[in-house]
Amino acid sequence: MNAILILSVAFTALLLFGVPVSFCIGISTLLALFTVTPTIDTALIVSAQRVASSLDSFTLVAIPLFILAGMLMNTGGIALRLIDLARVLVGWMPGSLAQISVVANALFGAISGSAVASAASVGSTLSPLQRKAGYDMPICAAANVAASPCGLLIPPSGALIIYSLISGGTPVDVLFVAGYIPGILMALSVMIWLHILARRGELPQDIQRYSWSEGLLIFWRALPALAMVVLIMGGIVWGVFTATEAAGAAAVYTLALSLIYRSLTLKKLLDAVLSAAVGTAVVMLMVGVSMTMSWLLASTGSVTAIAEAITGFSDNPVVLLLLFNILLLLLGTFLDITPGLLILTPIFLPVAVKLGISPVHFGIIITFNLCIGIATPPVGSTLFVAARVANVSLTKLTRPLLPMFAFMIVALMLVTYIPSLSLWLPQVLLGKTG
Amino acid sequence: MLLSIKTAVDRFLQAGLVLSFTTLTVCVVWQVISRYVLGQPAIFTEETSRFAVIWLSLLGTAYACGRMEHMAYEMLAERLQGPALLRQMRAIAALVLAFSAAVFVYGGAKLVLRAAEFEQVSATLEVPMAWVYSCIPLSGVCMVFYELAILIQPASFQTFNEVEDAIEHAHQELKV
Repeated sequence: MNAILILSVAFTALLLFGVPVSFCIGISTLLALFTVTPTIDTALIVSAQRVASSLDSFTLVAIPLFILAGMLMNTGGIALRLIDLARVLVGWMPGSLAQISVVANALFGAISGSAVASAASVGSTLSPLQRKAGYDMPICAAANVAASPCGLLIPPSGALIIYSLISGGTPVDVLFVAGYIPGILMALSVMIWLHILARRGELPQDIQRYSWSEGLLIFWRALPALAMVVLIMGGIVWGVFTATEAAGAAAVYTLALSLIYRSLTLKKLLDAVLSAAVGTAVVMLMVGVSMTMSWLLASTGSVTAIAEAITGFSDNPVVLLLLFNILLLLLGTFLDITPGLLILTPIFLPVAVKLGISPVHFGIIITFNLCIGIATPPVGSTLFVAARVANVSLTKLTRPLLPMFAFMIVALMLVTYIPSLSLWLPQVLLGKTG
Repeated sequence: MLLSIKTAVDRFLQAGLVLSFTTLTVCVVWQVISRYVLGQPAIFTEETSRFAVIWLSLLGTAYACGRMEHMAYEMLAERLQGPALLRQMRAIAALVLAFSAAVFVYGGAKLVLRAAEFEQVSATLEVPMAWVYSCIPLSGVCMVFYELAILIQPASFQTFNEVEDAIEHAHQELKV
């Protein structure tokens, strides 16, 4: 029990001091390791080896490729084309400009793989229009914040790849397909609240209608971006390739697309590759040190101890799932999605499996929780982005966010207690749920 | 002087990153092409791409240290300014330096030597594992250099800001 005490105290202290998260995990794991290994030398060599061997996985090869594809997709006006598509899809609803921002976030978030990039692009584009049309800007900014993480559940999703690895090899294809309905439910939950607001007259009733020919033209313009998703998910569902190969295909496809549209110079390509490399490395270091930590926790019996403590509290699955959600939501308010998955999965998943919850279903539950978490104060990058681009203060943004969170939590409860919302689609499309 | 060495280290790491990124992309794509077009799946692609990711991740870890891009919580930094902020940056740099020197440089070098001594080779391609692991001490040396540079000249480094970066990118894109 000494090891886990040292680990948690050191981790918290370093984190609060402002040490980068990966190094907080690395340093505190090393300190805990000193108490169990015979010599200091062994601890240092084991740490180095664990970090490298944790990254030795063909599943992880998908991460740099998806990040690069997402970055290349975030150029050449793809965001604008997807926002236009969202206009056609939900422009007929009252409060249309707010509804459009939700759908645009779901589309662009899934394709770019970044909630922050999504909130920035969608917010910057729609805020001036919303202001001009007389929308309540705090409500619009809040809708942008709440909808920005949808794309992290809707595949392709880097978060689900990380979960696949840390959970000990849950199949990525099943996780990807399982993410669709919960991700869409997350978007719908925000849209329902916006619809209620519009009905109450708190949002302008402007409606944008498009003729069939206009709609088709806009769809045509967004097709190159949508085709990437079809390529990836179609390829995976029909068994043409694995998730990693799909990521390779996506990277090549987006590269070809940028060359065709001539939006790419050699310098821009090199910049994109280097940014994708840094983005990859930041995630990978965190994966490496977290896998070392979870190995330490498992081998010292700490995980079993925590699991017994949790199941000692109650062994009723309904109660425990509720407890998990509360804990995950609380921890998620200050843990970003990647560290959240990496730190919390090894602790909670064994208990969940013991209760008979499938690792795929649990992966969706934990990701959903952390998605809500990245949109909440005090720590939430999308919150800062959305407030800035809409020119709204953080304090004003918080109030309209609360009812949206309430609706998202209702969606979370549905996803938690109705496993088939996650498992039905993989069963139908892939013929397996784990 | 310090900054020109930093530029040289940056360039070296950039070359390594582009090379390993290209390698892994080519391998994954070739894996698909060889299976469907040539009808004979290539054997080298999976292991090579995995090792390329290890190199990419570790060299990238060092490169990200130089650009201060490793994600951190800024609650304390936001409350500090002037000399206090520089002191906090230096303290963090010292901690990261100690960790990278101990684990990446020392532990990594020992790991490489041990793999060489026992002549460990990879499962498919039988590449010496010492070569695969050598990116750990290499990355460690670069990390130690960057953290020393931050200790000496903290004012010439600026923490990467995800929020500013995303907004700036969005604004540039929307002009298109």
